[in-house]
This record gives sequence, structure tokens and C-alpha cells, in this order.
Amino acid sequence: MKKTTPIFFLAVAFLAGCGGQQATYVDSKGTGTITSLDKVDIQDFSIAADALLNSLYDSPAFNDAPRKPPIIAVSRITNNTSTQFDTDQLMQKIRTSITRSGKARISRAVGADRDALTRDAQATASHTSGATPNNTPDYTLIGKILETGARAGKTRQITYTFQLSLVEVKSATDVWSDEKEITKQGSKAAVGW
Amino acid sequence: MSFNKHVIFSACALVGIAAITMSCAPTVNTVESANPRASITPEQMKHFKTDSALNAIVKPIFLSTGVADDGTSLKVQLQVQNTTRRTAHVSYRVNWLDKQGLSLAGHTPVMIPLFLEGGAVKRITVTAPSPRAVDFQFEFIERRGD
Repeated sequence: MKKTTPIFFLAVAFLAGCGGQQATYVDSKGTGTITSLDKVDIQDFSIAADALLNSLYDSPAFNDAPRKPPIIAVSRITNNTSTQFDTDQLMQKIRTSITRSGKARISRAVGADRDALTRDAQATASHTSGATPNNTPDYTLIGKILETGARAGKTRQITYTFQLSLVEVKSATDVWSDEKEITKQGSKAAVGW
Repeated sequence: MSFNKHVIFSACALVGIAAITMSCAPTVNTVESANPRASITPEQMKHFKTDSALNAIVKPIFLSTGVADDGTSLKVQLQVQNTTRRTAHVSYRVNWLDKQGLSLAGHTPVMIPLFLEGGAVKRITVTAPSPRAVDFQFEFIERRGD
């Protein structure tokens, strides 16, 4: 009995040690994040936003804008994947980057980003001054996220396609459009990529 | 008279040999590229950083800068080559710097995966996220788990 007790405690300690990895902080824009096969990961949003913005900034989309900087209204982004997530995870990165770039301004008066308080404040201001605010955006930003899956034996593959278009309101035509595909393959989720 | 005949015969023989030689020449143009082996200057190397593991695997071979179509943003194209025969799984990011040489405020560079087959050359084209970005540095690291 006396001999078995330490062995029992050692076995418990060993099993507890094998129980898993302790939680730690990782760089959410680095390569240490978890890569899943059944959902869009945080790095997928970052990579997609980076590629799409790179394409947008390289285009002459804003060159013929009627005012500088032009005003963009963000439309709803359609999530056509099998998983539920807030598409703002992509759009907020795009909004932030566009605003910081100084190339355009995002409207909070119309579109998916419409803010009730902003509109109320604007209505009060226009009532006081007597001037009607021009809330008409010059462009709208629309998008869609798609998913395509494939399987070969135990290996699964999933492709997420991030599509984004900039539409000129005056002509109702695309002035810029691009997509970014992100494909992940494997049999299970992994830490790091 | 016999001397003249001899000269005419020799001239005809030479012309015949020349015609045969020309007809045997390859008909494919073999014009060399103006810059068959792209190179990167030591000055340009300051724009490129790799970890020690990748140093001998991924090499920059060409770097070009210009202005994007919007007329304000810096545009950069880098060509990298996998100098080995094995596929290299790497990640890279671009650090944009302002005129003071500091990282561009509000812009956190994102790691982008890149697959380079053995010997492959890939072009990476990036546009600065703001006209305030006047300099840049590519940073390459080896993918985890390889």
C-alpha cells in the first residue's frame, strides 16, 4: 500500500502534465495562430483584407471622384459560407484602412454603417443652420464571402472566396472589383502556419 | 585563260559552300534577354530581411519601385527565388515606414503565406496603404512546422 501511493501520485502528475498546452498570448497578425478547416480564421480576414486593399489602392478608382476625398457607403456583406460570423471582422479592417489612408471617407449616414445618433445629430445641426446635408455617397462598397469544400480520403480542403466591389453611385457601375481566395488543406486544425 | 577559269571555279565553290552553310544554320532566333540574370543591389538589400533558416533558400533577385495608379501611393514589386530544389513554405510581411523611418502609425503588417516551388521565381507587388509611406522593408520567415 505504501509503495503504490507514490506511484499513483506520479501517474496523476504525469497525466496532468500531458493534459494540454497552457494558454498564452500570440500575435493575431503573426504565424502562431490556429488554422481551422471548418471556419474562417482571424488571419484569413487579415490576409483577405490586406490583399483586397492592396488591389484597391493600386487602382485609379478614386481618381475621377466628384469630390476629394470621396464618400463611401458600406453595404451589407453577404456571408454565403456554412458558418456564422460577423462580416464586420473583414469590413472593419477595410473601413479603418480606407479612413487612415485619406483616400476616401466612410459614411455613417447611409448604408450598413448607418448610425442613428449621427443622423439625429446631423438633423439637429441642419435644422439649426438651415442647410440640408448632402448624404449622397459617391461610391458604395459591396461584398460577398463564399465557401467551396473538397475531400480526398482524410484530407479536407476548404476555399473561402472574399469578393469586394466599389460601385460608382452616379453610373451604378463597378469602378473596381477584386476577389481573394484562401485555401486551407489538412485533416485537422493546427497551431501555427 | 586557264587562270581565269581557275578563279571563276574557286569563286563558285566559295559561293556554294557559303550557301550550304547558311541553309544549315538554325532558323530559330537566339536573341538573349537584355537582363538574363536579374540582380539586386547591396543598397536595395536593406529592403529585404529573412530569418537565418531562410537565408540560403529564398533570395531577392529584383526590386522595383514606382507610383500606383492613384498617383500618390508608393508601389513596390519584389521578385524572389527559391534557390533550392525543394518547395519552400514561407510567410512574408511588408513594414511600411514614414519619412522619419518609423513604422506607419495605425498600420500593423499582416503575415502572408507564400509557396515557392523548387527554383521558382515569384513576383510580389504591394501598394502602400497611405501616401505617408515613403519606405518599406520586406520580412520573410520560414513557415512553422516545416
